[in-house]
Amino acid sequence: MPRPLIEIRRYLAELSVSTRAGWNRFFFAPADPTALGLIRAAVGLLAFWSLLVMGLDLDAYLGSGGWESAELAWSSLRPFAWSFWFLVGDAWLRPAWIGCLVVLLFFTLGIFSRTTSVLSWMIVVSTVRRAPAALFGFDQIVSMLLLYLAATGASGQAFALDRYWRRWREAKRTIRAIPARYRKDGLGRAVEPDTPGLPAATVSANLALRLIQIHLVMIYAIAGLAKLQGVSWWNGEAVWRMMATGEFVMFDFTPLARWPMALSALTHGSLALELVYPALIWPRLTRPIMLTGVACLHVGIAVVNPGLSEFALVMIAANLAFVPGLYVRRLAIAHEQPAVRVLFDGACPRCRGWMALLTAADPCHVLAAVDLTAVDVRTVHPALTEAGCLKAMHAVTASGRVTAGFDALRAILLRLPLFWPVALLGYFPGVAWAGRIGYNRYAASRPRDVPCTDSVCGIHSRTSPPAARDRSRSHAPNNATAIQEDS
Amino acid sequence: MSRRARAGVESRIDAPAGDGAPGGSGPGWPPWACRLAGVAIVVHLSALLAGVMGVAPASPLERAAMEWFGPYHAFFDLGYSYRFYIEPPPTPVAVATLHFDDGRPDETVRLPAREIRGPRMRHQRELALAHSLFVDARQAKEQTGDISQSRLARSYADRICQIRPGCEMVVWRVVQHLIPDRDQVRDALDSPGAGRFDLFDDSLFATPEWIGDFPCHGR
Repeated sequence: MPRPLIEIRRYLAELSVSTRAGWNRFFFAPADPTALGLIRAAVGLLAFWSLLVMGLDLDAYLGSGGWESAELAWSSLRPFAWSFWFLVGDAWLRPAWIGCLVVLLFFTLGIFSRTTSVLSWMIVVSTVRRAPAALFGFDQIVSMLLLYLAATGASGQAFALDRYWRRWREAKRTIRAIPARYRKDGLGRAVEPDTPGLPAATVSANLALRLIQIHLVMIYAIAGLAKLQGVSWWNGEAVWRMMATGEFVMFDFTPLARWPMALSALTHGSLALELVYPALIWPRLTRPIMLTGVACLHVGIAVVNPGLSEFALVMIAANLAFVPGLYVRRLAIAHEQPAVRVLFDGACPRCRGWMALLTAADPCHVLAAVDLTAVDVRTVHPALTEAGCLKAMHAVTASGRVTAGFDALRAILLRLPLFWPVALLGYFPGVAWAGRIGYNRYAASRPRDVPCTDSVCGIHSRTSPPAARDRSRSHAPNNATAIQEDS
Repeated sequence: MSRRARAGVESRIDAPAGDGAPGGSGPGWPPWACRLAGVAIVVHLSALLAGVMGVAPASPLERAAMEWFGPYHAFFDLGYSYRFYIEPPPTPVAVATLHFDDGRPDETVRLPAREIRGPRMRHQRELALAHSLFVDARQAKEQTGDISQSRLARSYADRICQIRPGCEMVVWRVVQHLIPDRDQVRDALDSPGAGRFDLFDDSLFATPEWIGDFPCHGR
């Protein structure tokens, strides 16, 4: 064979091998599902919000006699297009709408994620098909993201209640097996679940992230290229035209007419961003610049046209597909770990239960659980006393701040993203006051595995029944009996 | 470029967004699954490309591809062109004049309404309704030569007849809300005693375009 042909053949073979390897590495290497979990939560919430808002005019959009009648919308459907809203009679419209909201809420929270992701996609597509006249960009992006989350089934692999409940169940199982696992150094994190705290990288997560990434790149590329047809993008007037569209704006931007240079810079800058995004979003070095740029662009669009706020938010959420999961977690979690040491009573079943609840929500090990029955509490913090710690849960932050009881619980919840809403509730006026009373009553009535024989243990009004006490003694860990003997 | 250097570049560019997962790595997919998924990805990406390229101005090839993937787009709700704000246009506003058979004075319904309570998204949906009516009316005129053949206008009119008892006839018009020229606004703002520039000034609304008279009874 002539040498040039050999070279061509070798080149083609190398090209084929490299392409296949690159393709597999790009689509089928496992990836961290953390960003995907966040996208699920954000998209679910926005889809929930959109349907909730539509519910204010439910009959006008989804009723048979809506703006676009069911008959007209049905006749306009393209072959293979579908919508379950055509099957829902007017009498069942409100119950069906409520059912859809429940599904979207479950999806947002990550409950039965695989099923609810498919159902959520069906809800959004059905709504789009039933009321196409009321459609705008937001619906297109939500539908696109839900398609990938549903098709890959990976959306519940992180930031999902499904995952939290599984870890909590495991933690509770661990607690039941505690006598066998009891060690001289106390329970510590023995109350935590067996499943690793941080989600494992998976191929399905990577596939979903890659498809979102490619779709996003395509959107920005075509949006940028298409704008090159518009004169106003060349003469620097486009942003002004948006700001001066009376039907869109809520704020008065007309004084900016005196700043043509600024308006031109905004126009050219946003167009340039859309044009370079498809290339510069991939290299790690330029990725943060691109992400910051598009975040500013979408926030700007939302400020100019508040009706597009949801569109801006869903585009920002979609861009999370380019953010490494590790970075997302670092944003939510304090840098120093453990951030809080939690002193709990390892001889108290309720306390162990609470620790299981907390550690299940602590994949990043922000908490360090310390069983006070096994340590000298003064080694944790000199201000602590054993008697005080037995009365209530204590939390010691990395900076040395000590809180107890309800305040400790609030400080702990504040460190766990899953419980942020609950923790913030604790700062409302009156809630802390009631919380402290409730906590103290609850703590005073908690049972322990060991019978109380001293004044400190006397705070617990309920002791184990004799049979249970014998059983607990027979399984009693060394350190628990040690406390009894000491006292 | 050496093989190692090339590999370094590739890893910097191609690394998955979620690389370096601290929770370890799950099992990979078997080769047959990768191959199957690979075919699906190729089909899907081709469909996306056909969707974004298939709208005007498009070549016969692009239009054919768009048509070919039509059922796929329809089933999965894809095929959008994503050409947002190519040229920020005047905003079409739909205005309905309601005539009543009981002697009540005429009423006007505006889409989008000037003041809508609640979330701003409601306003955005009404903007979309008005834009859809405008597009549908244009298409009706192009296809039949009669703008009043707009099916969407008929449907919108039926909606109004339904929610406004006693309404005898709905007259739909579309008016373009124009965007003021920047120099015009600057001059207006710089003129002595000028206050804020009113984006809803009458001069910024084009002559209303009649779409049709739609009686509520005897359709």
